[in-house]
Amino acid sequence: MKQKITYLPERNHNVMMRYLSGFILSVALTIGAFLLVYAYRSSDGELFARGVLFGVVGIFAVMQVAVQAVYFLHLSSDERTKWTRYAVIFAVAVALIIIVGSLWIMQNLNYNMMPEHTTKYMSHEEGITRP
Amino acid sequence: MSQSATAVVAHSKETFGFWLYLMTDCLVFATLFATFAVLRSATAGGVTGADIFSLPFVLTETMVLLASSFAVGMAVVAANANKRRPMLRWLAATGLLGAVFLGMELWEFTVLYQEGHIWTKSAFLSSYFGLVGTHGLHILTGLIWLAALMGHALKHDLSNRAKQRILYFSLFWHFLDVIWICIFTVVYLMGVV
Repeated sequence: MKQKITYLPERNHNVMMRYLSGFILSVALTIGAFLLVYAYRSSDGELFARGVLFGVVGIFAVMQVAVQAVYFLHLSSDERTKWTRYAVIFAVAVALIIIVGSLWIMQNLNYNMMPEHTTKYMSHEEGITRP
Repeated sequence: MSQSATAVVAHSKETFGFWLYLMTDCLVFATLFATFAVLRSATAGGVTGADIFSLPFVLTETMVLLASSFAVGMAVVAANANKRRPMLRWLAATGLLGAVFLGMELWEFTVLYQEGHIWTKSAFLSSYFGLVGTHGLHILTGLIWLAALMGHALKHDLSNRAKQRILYFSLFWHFLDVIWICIFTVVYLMGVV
């Protein structure tokens, strides 16, 4: 049977450069996200909208996870690492379903279990009536 | 890909097994993240994240863990080159930085506890301690594992199996770093605004 094995590069310099690049990129992304939040806080939220901040900081986190997956965890598009990649994609998909699904359902429940005055507001302003 | 007798194996059937473990652990954290995301505003009239989190402190924590992650990477590089002494030094640095991280986290928990912001106060605090505490427990487990690896490497010459164990540990440690980045972003950065 053909062995499906990938070794770390023999030239150790290359391996080291991978870890070093991953580290530098991670530090830059961490500090970048921190500075954005810091700027937002010191401008009392006038610099940009809260939603924009959440979006950008979220993208920074996703980028950093990708950087670490490639440079530290040695994930690649190599044909021989196919099953590892499938396992990761499956786990990420399930994680997203759990997190986004929970938020969605709970928000919906909150919306439908609002106190009396909100229900009144909904029926008057939004035209939503309750039996 | 060249077949080397001494290079560390980055991917094989065995590493795939370890990856499966990591991914199930990832799902454990996903449920804790979902719980936190749902309950983050359920403060029961008590403190919010903005009241209790200190960003510079947590940024320092993050940098310490990142440095620890880099150090274990250097240990793998040393193992790949069959250099036992440098590998042990980098592993020691990994452990030291990991211990500093855990100490900072415990200190943060202690301060919160002393100020009365404990897990019984609100759903937000329960989910916060649940999520961050679980990560801390993983770090503690990793430190014990690391001590065992170092004890073995101190006594014995570097075998290919021993080098493989270093790689598995590095995967676990980097994985915890990835989880921490998510905690740093979702709990702390998004928690203070």
